[in-house]
Amino acid sequence: MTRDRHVGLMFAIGLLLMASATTRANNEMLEDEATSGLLKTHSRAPYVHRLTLYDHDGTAIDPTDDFAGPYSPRMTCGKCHPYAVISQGWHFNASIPHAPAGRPGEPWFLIDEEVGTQVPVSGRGWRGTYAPDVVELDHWAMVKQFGRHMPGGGYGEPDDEAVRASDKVIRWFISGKLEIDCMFCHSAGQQHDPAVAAQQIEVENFKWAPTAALGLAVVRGEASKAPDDWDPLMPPDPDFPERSGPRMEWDLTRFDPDGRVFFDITSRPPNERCYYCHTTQQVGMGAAHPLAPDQDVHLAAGLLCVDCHRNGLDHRIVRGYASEAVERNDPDLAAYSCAGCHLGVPGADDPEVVFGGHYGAPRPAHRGLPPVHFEKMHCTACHAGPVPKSNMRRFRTALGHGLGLMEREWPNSAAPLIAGPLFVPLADGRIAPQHMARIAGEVPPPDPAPLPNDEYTEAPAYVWALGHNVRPVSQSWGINGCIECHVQGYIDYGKPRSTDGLVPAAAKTMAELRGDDLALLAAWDFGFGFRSTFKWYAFACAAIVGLVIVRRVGDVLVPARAAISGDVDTAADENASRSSVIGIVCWVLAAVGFIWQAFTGFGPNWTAGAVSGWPLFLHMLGAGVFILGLTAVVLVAPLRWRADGKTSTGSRVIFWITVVLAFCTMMTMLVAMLPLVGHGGQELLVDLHEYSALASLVAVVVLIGAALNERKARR
Amino acid sequence: MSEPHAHTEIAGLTRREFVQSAAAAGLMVTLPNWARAARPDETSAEELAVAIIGPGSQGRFLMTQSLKIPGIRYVAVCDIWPYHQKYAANILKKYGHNVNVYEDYREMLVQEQHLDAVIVATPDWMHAEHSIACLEAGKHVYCEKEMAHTLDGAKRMVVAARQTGNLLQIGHQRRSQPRYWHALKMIEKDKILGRITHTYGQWNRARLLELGWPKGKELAAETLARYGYESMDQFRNWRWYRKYSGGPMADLGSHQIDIFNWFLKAQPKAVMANGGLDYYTEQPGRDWYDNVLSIYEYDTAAGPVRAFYQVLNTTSAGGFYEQFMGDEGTLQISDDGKTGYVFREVAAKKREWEDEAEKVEQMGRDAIELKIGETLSSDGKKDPEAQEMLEQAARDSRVLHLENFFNAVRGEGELTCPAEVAYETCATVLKANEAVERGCRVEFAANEFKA
Repeated sequence: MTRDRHVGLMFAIGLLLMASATTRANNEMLEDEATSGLLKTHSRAPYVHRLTLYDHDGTAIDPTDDFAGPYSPRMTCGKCHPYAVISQGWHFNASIPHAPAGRPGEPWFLIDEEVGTQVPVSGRGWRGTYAPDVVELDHWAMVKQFGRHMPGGGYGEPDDEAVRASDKVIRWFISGKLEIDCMFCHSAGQQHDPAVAAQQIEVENFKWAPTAALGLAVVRGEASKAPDDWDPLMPPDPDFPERSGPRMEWDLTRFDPDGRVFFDITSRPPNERCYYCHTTQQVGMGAAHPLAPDQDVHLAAGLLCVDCHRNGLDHRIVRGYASEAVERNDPDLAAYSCAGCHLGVPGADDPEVVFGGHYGAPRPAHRGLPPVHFEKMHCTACHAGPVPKSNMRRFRTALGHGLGLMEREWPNSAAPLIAGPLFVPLADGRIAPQHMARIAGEVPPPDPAPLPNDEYTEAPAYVWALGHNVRPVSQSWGINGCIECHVQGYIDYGKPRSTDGLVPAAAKTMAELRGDDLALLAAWDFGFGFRSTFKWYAFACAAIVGLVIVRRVGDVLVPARAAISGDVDTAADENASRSSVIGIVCWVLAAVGFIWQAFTGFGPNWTAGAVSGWPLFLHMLGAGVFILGLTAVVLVAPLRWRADGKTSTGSRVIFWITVVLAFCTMMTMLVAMLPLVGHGGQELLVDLHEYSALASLVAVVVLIGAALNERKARR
Repeated sequence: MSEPHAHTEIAGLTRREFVQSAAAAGLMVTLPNWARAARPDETSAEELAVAIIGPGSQGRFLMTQSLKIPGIRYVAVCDIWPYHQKYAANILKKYGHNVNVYEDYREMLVQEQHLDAVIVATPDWMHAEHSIACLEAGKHVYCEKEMAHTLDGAKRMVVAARQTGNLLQIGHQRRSQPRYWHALKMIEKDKILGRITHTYGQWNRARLLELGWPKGKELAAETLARYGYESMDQFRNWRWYRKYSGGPMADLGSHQIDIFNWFLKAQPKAVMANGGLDYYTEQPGRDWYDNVLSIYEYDTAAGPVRAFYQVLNTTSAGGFYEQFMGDEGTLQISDDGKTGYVFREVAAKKREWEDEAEKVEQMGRDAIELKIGETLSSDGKKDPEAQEMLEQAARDSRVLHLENFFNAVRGEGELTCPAEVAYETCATVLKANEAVERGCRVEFAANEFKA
């Protein structure tokens, strides 16, 4: 971990701790206010929802009344749940100006295949998307275009001012508002059919959609064909029967004798409810075998989507990305990011947040993985989405392609063209896999550009996270060792070219896109080819140095004993002239290695705060010389001392201290290269490496000083 | 607004005199200015304070459509049924019009002194009472057709309008539709049909369902009685009762028989008709015919014309349209916004422009589609006047008719269906009911068309 990261982390933890108590108190207060006066049970046992239905005027619905209106979730569910608060939630607030937008997510796509229009649309202001009004989509048009996958609220419930400002005043009056359909998510089973809601929305039967989707009534007729003077009390127009507007036939079997309806509701929506809007599917060339895709590993373990993507009464869904806790000023949310759950959040106020491990989430060791990976990449880079190949894959999504609605033909080439995984750095500089969709159409280029390098796609593109499916550990990228990524052609995850027009043939590699130093990448790739050999060599040297250290610990005092007894090794004189040449070479080698490592290590660390890029590569390159020099000097130095008999005990002690420190410096990195130590251990080893190197540096300075003093004394 | 139409006198003639004289002189063929005019500028339109009496189904349509006309501000709604009151007020609120709600029109007229105009869309039997009260209160009135279910009521309305000097527009909206004006021009100026010998009109609509009401929203019996109804069924299904309505001939036929009179420039001299209450016999108390088949006899300047008209309430066969049949061709036109064809007789002398005209197949025959702005004139050129009307013609006739009314209130143009004109239609239509009743040919008196 770099010094800057240490400081930054401590600062962030401090801020989060300060914010934590306040935020939690605020949330509790808001929740109390929002639910004040509403009926509650406060039990973990679910309340059985056997409810009287209310229409949009708040009148209790009598299904035997021919003119009973459709049920209103606002009026029915809102009796006990704070609709106004819920309507600010994530799934409903895209239309609210300045609502928290968070990390860019999947947009809507305005598509016209005939003229090649593919424009990402979002009211959230995500970089690279177009606001609905920019592409001339008002609330009405948004619902008409994308209501098929809207759970209601938001664009479906414009306020009176927005309605008046539109040219659809009377159409809104006829169609009604598309209220939040609570059962869209909270239906415990298949009682609610979102596809039916989509059909109703398509024909502008907005306020009828929740009733029809829940199967409480069959809705016939289309508001879209009803004239402006449509009268719900009038029978079908005898002149234009098709203009008759919506009419309902209630399923009377769903009502009990008191006119109440059982709602099969759960507070933990099943995954299948989420999938209606959040299905993603690989298609076309390179797609996985139909039998290959597994569930997300979390779901396979028995979790639900909502176990991670939680929300409180405010329905602000946790999206689970790394910076969300800071953005939302709620430190506890860090517990639901990948790292927060699996590694815990050190320094958090709540012990459960500190520990992490929700629902038994395993704590990964990441043995042998240098911490630099965590500084450069998000968890998803190795763990989520399809395993990277040389080309990107094409995706179909529910929001983009209308999955969930019955069609006979699903051409793989259907717009929008969504590709992935594209590995690009996010705002925090760390790389994560993304979906990508080019922007095409008669629209001005997005500002600012959505990708760091616009040349990449020739046309601008919008990118958003590719966070699922999370693969099992055995399919993690790099599980088979460093060379799974660090060999020529793979470090950049390949060139995202495609034969089906996803990106131009001249597209750059992802490494180029990221602005990486290609020569440096090539150097690393080359270097990793020798990684195995280097390990053998380095550990052999380490073994020699270690044995010598053990062997020579006792020798430290040998000259002193000799001096006392007068027992001088006369044979040493014979070898003195021969060993002096070898010794000089060894000392020079050690000096060069040490100086090289000192410059490439301490230099960047002290000037730039971290060792990375070319200095890091050169530091690694110099390691071989350093190790060799250390090994050599450890072998020849005692011989030299024995030969000349002039080296003082103090110098010898300082020498061996220096050797031990240098040995530690070497071993901290060599051990880190083995799959022995996990994430925390790796960071500890890096720290130890830095501290032992610093101590070595001091020891070397002292050693040189002692040597110079002895020489001066001899003269 | 004060003195709303004081400046509508033209060269010493009152507006009505001008209309009458213009019609007599055949000048009405010339397209009126309103038909070519662009819609009023939203920023410059003088604001008119408007109320509606009877915001039921038709009333609400008029209400919502008039909201698209610049300068219209609703200030009051009046209905005896709270359901209608609330529904209408809700719609108006969506448009930003906060209105006062009344049950009794008399109270509304007392309280809303500043009203400029009132839309009357109540059941036929109340048209006279409501319209006359409004006119006498100094308001201009747009009244739905049929202007009254009795000739006496219609006459009193004409007199009230005449005496008060206030405007009274009756809702025969085809008279404000440029497509009809264009067709009339082709008949009169271009002689595209030759001599008209017969006309045909029909309004066939599918089997009707009763109008109901939501549970718990019924009017109290005493309220119904106070306003002249014996039951909620009578209130909702008033069109089937003679004491409230002129029956299907007045309800539907008046639209199309009005076109007969207008296009033929004549009033009929006699009518024979047959019909009865044959199908809807299970609902007790209902007494209007559910089908009428009638033949009117006209003496026009070009010669006798027999006009057949039928209104059926059990089948939608053919829908609704009007046909003018001449010895050189037939014109078929409808207010459905789509139908407009000219079938030329094979034996008719071919006009130079006919080969160029766009043709469509209708009923197995080639038809020249009546397209405003595209149909060629006798000189072989596209009618420039018609092209000017193109935008207007695409709009709903009822909106145009309302716009004509409000323009006239502002002193901009003339009413296309003033009370006198509508009275002629009323007299024509009600006579058919009499003919059915009497079971014989009934002649019109010479002065029967003048109030």
